[in-house]
Amino acid sequence: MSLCVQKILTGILTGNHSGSLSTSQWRDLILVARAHSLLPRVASMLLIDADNNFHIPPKVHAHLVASIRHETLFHNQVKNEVKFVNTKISGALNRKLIVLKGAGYVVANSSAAKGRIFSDIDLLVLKDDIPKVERALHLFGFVSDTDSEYDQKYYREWAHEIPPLRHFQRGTVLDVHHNIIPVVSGRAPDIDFFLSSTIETEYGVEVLRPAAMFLHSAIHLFFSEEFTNGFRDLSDLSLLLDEIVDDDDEVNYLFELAYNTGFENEVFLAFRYLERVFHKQVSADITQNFKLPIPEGFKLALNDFIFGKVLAANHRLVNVKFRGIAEWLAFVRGHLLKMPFNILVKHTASKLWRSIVKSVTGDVENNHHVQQKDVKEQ
Amino acid sequence: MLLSELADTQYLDAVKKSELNIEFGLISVNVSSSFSQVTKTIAELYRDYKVSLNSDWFDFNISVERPSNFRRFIRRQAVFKLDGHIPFKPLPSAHAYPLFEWGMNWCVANFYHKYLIFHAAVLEKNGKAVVFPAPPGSGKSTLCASLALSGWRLLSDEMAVLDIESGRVLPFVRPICLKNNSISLVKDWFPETFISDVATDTQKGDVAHVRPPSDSVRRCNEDAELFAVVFPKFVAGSPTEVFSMTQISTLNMLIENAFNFDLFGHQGFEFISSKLPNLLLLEATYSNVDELRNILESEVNN
Repeated sequence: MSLCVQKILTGILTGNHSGSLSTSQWRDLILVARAHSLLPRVASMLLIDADNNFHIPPKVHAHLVASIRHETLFHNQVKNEVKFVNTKISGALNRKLIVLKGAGYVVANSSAAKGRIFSDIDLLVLKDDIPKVERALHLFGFVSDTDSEYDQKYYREWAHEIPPLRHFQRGTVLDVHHNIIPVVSGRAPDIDFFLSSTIETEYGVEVLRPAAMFLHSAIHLFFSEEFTNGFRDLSDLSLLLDEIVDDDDEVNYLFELAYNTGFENEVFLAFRYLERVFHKQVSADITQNFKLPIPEGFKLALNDFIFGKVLAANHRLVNVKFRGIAEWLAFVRGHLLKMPFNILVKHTASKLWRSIVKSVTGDVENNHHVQQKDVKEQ
Repeated sequence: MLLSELADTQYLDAVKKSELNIEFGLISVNVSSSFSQVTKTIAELYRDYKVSLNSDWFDFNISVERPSNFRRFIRRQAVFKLDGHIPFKPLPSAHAYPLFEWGMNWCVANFYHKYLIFHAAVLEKNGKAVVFPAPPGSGKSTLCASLALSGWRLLSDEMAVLDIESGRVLPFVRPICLKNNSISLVKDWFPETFISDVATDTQKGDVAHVRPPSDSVRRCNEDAELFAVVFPKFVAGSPTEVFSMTQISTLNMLIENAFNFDLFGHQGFEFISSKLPNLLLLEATYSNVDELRNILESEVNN
């Protein structure tokens, strides 16, 4: 029963599920999908890509229709916000604005936009343009989310982005990046490789081309230290992969870009856990393109232990043994990837102190954010 | 099976183990709580509702529990959970029951976008449904309780649920939430009616919930024809006066009181615009509930 609901969900998300579901299977599917913000995606797969012969009971249909309504409005708002931001800052830019991740999928009309709900709009600009962009955004109502001195310092010195900016009325959050992973990691690529991997959209902004979109999504996932949205992100990768598998140019471009930027391993991990968690086969024609030797032995076993668990659906109906240990290992791994050890110790101490304060005070500090997000997201 | 037909031990066992579903017609909700104050109040207020045990379906599974952080040892608190997830801040444990009701409202208003939902009371008489949208303080719930306990059928105290396909209003029958002075008023007017213990000093002031009439609960699957939109306005000491409203100001005020109008885009706008010309649109200033009820009754009996 427990494994079943994840299998049904991945089957639907990859367009591979057939057969009918019992009422309780539908109920569990909705719960698990909703917990991962995947209900709109499930709905869009089942209602819009009507290439299936599911019988959907009316009470299930109600939830699917509801989540599609939510997605439609949300995507409209995202497109408008992107257009608004672009008109306000394009004058300050020395190159066209690039929209990344969720908002990027939406303005690119990528299939990964299907049912995708997110909380921030991620932007990529030239590092030299950041001060001007920040001033322009301040002027049009976007203010920094955090007053904490530590956060400000963390972002400015070590990160690949500036502290999130929130619109004082609409609540929209912008993450303005100048690279795709933290500078302090030592792994941040020459961003020109990505800046030259973009395509235009009808919204006057650029997005990464499909191969670069897949690569960025894989890097983002496998450089994380926490995987609350891991299952959802893997579902993105599944859809992003669909966009390129039948296009030899894009497949070749993916491997070239991954090799040049030093992220072949992230592509390997993406393929591996798409197969293991989403049961999505990646053909040998594609996997033979890796130039570096693929991981094996203990390293691979450790990866399998960690990612086999943290990328699984995270819900009480999906029983994953030792998930806690895997999450802890993933947390350590993610931090080690991002920071040299001495900085990591300082950073962890600061985070730990905050989490202790939070457990005592009941997260008073952040609760207003959570509520605002709920209103907007759900 | 009705909740009142369950043996006490059976009920308590089910509600503690998350095995109890309350059937609202519109939706089915799995409810549980570790607070005896909550389980006792549910048993009283939802006495006449259909329930099922270990059913293979629910639309939402909600609970009110004690929080798990250290603060629980300092101050007693209650948290609302939807499928184990905590969407908002804890409240003092004395507000656990209102938290349960408000949490359930939140689920429907935030997720159940199959229907167009307005913040409004809905009551029906003679097959004609009257929608009472109103901001807090307008006396909506007092009026709602008064009508519901005087022979009108209660469809909802908080949410007007409109099916844009059939054009009809659907019941979502729930206990009526009274605030502050109206609690003692309703107790005086209808001494035989069950009203829950008062939770004092909540974010809405003192609140208590009124058990909905059993006939309204029994008919929770019967939708109704829209007849009127009435904006009640309680003004102490005022005579009862009823003004007719224009379609455009009604539309504006409805939108102000909508939970999910934005999610329906053009469809929602077209739906409301096509309905308004056929409805009675009124604003009512009153201080005497009986007088207003008489006016409304003469309208629906016409």
